[in-house]
Amino acid sequence: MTARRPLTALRSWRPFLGYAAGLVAGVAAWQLIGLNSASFVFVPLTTTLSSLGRLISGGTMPGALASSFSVYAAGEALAIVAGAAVGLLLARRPLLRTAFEPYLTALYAIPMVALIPFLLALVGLGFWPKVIVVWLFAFFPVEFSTQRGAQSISPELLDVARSYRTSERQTWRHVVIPYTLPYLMTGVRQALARGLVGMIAAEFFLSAGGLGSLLITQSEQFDTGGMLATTLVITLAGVILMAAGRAVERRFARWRVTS
Amino acid sequence: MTQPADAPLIRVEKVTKKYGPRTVLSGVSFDVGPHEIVSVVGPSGCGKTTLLRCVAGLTEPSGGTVSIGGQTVTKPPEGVGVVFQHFGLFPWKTVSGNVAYGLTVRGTPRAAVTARVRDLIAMVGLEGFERSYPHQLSGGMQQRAGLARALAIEPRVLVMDEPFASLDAQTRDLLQLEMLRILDQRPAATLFVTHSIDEAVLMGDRIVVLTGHPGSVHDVVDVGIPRPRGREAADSDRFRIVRDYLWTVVMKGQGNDNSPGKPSEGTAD
Ligand SMILES: Nc1ncnc2c1ncn2[C@@H]1O[C@H](COP(=O)(O)OP(=O)(O)O)[C@@H](O)[C@H]1O
Ligand SMILES: [Mg+2]
Repeated sequence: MTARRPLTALRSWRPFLGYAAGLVAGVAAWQLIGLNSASFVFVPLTTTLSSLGRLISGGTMPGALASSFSVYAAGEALAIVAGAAVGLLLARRPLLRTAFEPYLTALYAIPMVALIPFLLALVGLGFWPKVIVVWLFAFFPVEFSTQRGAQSISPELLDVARSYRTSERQTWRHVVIPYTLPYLMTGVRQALARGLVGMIAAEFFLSAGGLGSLLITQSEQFDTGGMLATTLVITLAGVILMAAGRAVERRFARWRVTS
Repeated sequence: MTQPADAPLIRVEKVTKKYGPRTVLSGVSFDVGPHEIVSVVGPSGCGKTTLLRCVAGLTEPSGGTVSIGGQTVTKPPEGVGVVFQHFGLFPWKTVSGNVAYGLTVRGTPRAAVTARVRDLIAMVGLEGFERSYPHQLSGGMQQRAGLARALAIEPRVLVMDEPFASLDAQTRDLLQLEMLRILDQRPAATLFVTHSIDEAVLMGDRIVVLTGHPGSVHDVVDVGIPRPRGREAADSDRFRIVRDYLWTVVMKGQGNDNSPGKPSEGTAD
């Protein structure tokens, strides 16, 4: 039995070893490709990290992050509130659903990037136009998921509520909203990812600060190290937001049957 | 309008229910006394659930009336507890939250709710599971919670739709007897829907036999076994007589020459 001990220990370390091996391989590949490329195409990781250091200490990166994520936060917050409200209303009010669902379906089908130049012409540059773009990217997944969830409440549970003479307001509070919350959170997880795409895209077009316009400036100046550093920061933000989204989703699905 | 104390509490009069062109229930009439348990038995699809939904005010009859305490039922009335076939517990609420539901939506003060929920959880034997979520409980325990929720509003009418049908045999036997004990302690006009003949006889003071297509009352049988009843009720001669009669009626259909005669009243014990 003692012979099995090291094996068990190895097994519990295995996922970690896997990550470490992957990381080492990635870093090595980056470094090697960088060393063997022309510097306006690709630079080694070490060069990228020193660029990142300069961007941070010079205040460029903190400024761009603050600018980007204030747009992102505002857009996401408004999209989640509006998506949840519209989704619940359309699910519970068949008349509204018949009237407005075709518009939503059509809008959801449009690639959002195609709307950005149009928005630019319509509302110009600045903070709010970019918030609108993030909103457009994030609203639909929330609305869609919320509505689909709220429409799938079992008729038996609604009968239970009715048999206890639950008022419409109390039915929302005790049945419709708690039931829909996990679906809403699935929409939120998707919206957090799509909103990030919207944020960068908006800053490409409506450039006035932020990570997207920093990327454009760096590419115009052939600052490959800076570009890679900025991309690294955006990737990191994406990874963190995905993890946060999944955590939130899990937290609200606690009561669901899990095995 | 006041009612004499022993007048039927639930009156079902010539109830007909149509879904589109299909008649599901046709001219169903019977009544239930204030302390009486009436079993409704019939094959699957004969309209038992539909009938129960009419009594609970969850759907309106196409013809005829249901009245409770002299009031015609058009929407879920006050004081009617419903126990659902698939328990109908809210999966996002704990056992306590589910049992408290009827009181909470009525606006009962919190302290009163807490005390009452504690009593009911003890009554159905769920102590220690107050904070569990339904999916963490066995089917039997879920239905105990469903029962406690229905009893929490101190119902004068209790309607149950095959409440033990999805439980294993042993749990079902146990819950049947516990249900009888509870209804002895705090009686209610009870409509007990089942597709099991044995269960109908064990639980009911009277039995309404439904036949299908469209669902109509084929017979109303007096069980004639006194309450309180225990396990020994199922071993009595009377139990066998009533059960055999029902089997003949339900399984062989009406008009069979070999069928035993309808058990008359007073042949009990
Ligand atoms: N909402 C409904 N719409 C149309 N038909 C229904 C509806 N509810 C029940 N029925 C039909 O009515 C008949 C009786 O159903 P039900 O009352 O559930 O029977 P039981 O509970 O005895 O099995 C069935 O044939 C069923 O298909
Ligand atoms: Mg049924």
